[in-house]
Amino acid sequence: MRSALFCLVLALGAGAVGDEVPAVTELTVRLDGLRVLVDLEAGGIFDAAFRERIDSGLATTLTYEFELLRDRKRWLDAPLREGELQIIALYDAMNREYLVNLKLDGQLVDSKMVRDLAELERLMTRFEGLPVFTLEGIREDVSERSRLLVKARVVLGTRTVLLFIPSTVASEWRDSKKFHLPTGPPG
Amino acid sequence: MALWDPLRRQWKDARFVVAGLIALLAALVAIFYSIQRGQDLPATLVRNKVLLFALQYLNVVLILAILFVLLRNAFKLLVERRNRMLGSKFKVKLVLTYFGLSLIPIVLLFVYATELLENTVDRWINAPLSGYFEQARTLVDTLNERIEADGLRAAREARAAILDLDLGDPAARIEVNRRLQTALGRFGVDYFGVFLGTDFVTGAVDPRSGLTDLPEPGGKYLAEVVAGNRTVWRVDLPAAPGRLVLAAALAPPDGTGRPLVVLAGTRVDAELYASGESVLAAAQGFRQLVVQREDVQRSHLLILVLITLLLLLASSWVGLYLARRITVPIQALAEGTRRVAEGDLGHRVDTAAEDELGVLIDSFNRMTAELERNRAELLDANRRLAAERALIAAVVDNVAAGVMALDGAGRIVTANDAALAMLRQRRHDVLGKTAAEAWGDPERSRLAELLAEPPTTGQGQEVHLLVGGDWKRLEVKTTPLELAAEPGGEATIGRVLVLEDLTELLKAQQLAAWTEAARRIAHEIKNPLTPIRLAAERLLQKHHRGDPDLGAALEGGVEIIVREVVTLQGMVDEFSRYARMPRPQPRRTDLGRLIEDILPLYRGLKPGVELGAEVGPGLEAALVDPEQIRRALLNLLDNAVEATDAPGRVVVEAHSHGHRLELRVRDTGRGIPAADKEKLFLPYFSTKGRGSGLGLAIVHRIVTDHQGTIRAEDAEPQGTVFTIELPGR
Repeated sequence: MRSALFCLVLALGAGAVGDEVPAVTELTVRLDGLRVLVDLEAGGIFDAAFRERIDSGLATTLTYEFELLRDRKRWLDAPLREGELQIIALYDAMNREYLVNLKLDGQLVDSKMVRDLAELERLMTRFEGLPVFTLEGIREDVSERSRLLVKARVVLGTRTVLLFIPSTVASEWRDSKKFHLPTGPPG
Repeated sequence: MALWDPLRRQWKDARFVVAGLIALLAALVAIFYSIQRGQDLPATLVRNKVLLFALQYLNVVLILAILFVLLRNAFKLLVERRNRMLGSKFKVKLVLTYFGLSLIPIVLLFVYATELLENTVDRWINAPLSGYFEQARTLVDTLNERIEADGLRAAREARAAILDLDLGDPAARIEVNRRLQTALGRFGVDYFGVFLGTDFVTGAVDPRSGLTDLPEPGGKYLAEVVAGNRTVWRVDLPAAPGRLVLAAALAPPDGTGRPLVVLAGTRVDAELYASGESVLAAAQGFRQLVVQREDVQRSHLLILVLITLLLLLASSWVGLYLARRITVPIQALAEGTRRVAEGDLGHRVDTAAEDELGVLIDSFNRMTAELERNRAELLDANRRLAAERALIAAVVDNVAAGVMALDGAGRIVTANDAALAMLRQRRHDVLGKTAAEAWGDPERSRLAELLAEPPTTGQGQEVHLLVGGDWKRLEVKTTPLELAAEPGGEATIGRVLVLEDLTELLKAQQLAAWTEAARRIAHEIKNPLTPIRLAAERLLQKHHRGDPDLGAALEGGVEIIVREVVTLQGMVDEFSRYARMPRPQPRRTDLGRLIEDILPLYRGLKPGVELGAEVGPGLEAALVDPEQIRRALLNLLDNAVEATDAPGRVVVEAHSHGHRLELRVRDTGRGIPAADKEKLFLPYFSTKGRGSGLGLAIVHRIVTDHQGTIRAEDAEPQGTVFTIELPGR
């Protein structure tokens, strides 16, 4: 009974308990031709509970969601592009090393073994030059003078409210600086 | 609809419900078994997010469905209760009873199960156990770290020992191998391997290690070592049990550009390795349990909530089901009763029910069938009765006699046209009125008086009524009539009044009587005329012949003529008196005294014939004309004494019956032939061969002038009795 009440309180008060809030702290966008490269840094993720979960050997996933949007404030605007980076960490207790798989839009793009938790944190929360989007064919949707921006957030997983209502645990969206389409021949 | 009805009936079938409950129980058992055996499920199945998501939402959907069904049932009950539907109160009570009875144990069970779950999880994840797992894991980790550290140290030492040698020189490789053999013993490792980049150069194996061949370190790992990403890893030993822990030491590239990699391998016994793996797996499992503690509790709690809701649903549903099994037949019966009350006797209750309710429905259906049959018979009987009534009405309307019927309260309920014509009244003048109301006028009051007297079955009374200025002579017969009792009342006695108009008949009779009288008068006149004529003709003949005895003949003839003329004169006087008989002048008369005055005139007149009187009470003030009644009695006594031979007896009786007087003259004489009785009261009719023949006619005239009747009957054992009935009061 106490656990039920605890779960209820936890569900109702979720988000107001932790000291650190998961967030995308840095988001920088660079253009490499028609590729959109993202430099990202997230924080507030590797708290004690997160570390405990990883060290328990449970597969732990962080999902970074990216959206490429026009620079205008119309809520009904659909993103021009969407991307997703999944980072799955699995601890091998016998070898005392962490297997980290990176999937970009569902495709495995990298797999690494690290033995250090700090290295694991770096692997899971910092990226440089991540090719999230390509701008090929985007001029069919936007004009050359349009400004674009990238939004990103990190999804830690799901939780349940009132015992059975699932909800997503994620950071707030963070916007990059706005940028223009590259000049040159139409992509 | 045709497809739905069998399904509905099947749904109502208790066996179907039981089968459903069994299926539900089986599903719960299967879920429980799956949970218990969850660890045996394939990892891919358990990790399938779609499947887990679907299962989670299936739970949610199930819970919501159960809640919906519960709320729907409650709402339906509320609506039925608000609409005051028959049986809704009973349903609510039964459902609340079931729900209330089951709620307490279910909630207690839920609380207990929750506490048990929490305690169980707490027991799993208690501090000592956590410490044991942590210590065991630390122990294995320390052992592994020690093996790895020793391996790394051996690899570095071996690297240092061979760093001065040119590995490209085959002769130097022998030295490398010798130094590695030396290092094997010194550092306690089981294997050294030397690589240039990922290319194998040479290696050494401790023969005591059980390794028969040089182990394959794996090109992928070597590449990682060269890349600087890895220093330790483990490889399986295909030829020997156990595992080999490899530690790498990297030296900068030589003149060929390839780095020097020295591997030191330490063989870990299979049993030890397996033990370590088990310890770490258990410790990791425990840590996972701790991490997932809330999820585990939540999922179990969810199952408990689901089961609790299922039980509550089952209890309320059972309550509803039982209530419905009772109320639905009752509702059908109520509806059937309403339909039957509205006259729909063909309605049958077709609701399936068992037990006493089934018997009740069967009885109801049999009752309605019986009612329907009875009504059909009743309608048929009514039709026949109506036909018979129409026939009777037609007969009554077409008979010459007047027919009237009075109910128990004396109100006239029926009167045919003949009766109304006789009484010169219209239908609305009499219908619904009592005799006193309908015939309150002086002309018809005699009828009301008659009806006030006790009925005389089969015996008519002749009454004279002055209706519309015309005298009518009616024969009135009253017959008691037992009337059917009204619902809740008693049977009553009514009257049937039959009126026979004798006026025309009597006129015809009088005409015939006068014809007969004329004939008799002619005959009586003719009788004396013949001797007169003969005497006159004889006198004339003697005169013509000059007969000498004309004088004697004249005397004789005149004597005859005078005698016969006297006879004729007497006859004419009698007739004149009969014709001039005055109207009666009724006054209060003591009939007993009148009779006592008359009888002495006849005593001793005829030896051997006794005279007597029987006078009842209530005759002291009879309203009659005493002279005419005296004359009538004298005529009757004349005839009685004349007809009675000695020894004989003549008795005069007088009695009072309510408003009626009855006078009788009874004799023990010869009696009257039946053929003569009809002509008895006609003028000039006589059985005696002498007299005027007007005696009984005068008696009859006196009686009828008193509104009375007279009749002659045979007396027992012999003789004749004349009965006079008079109103007299």
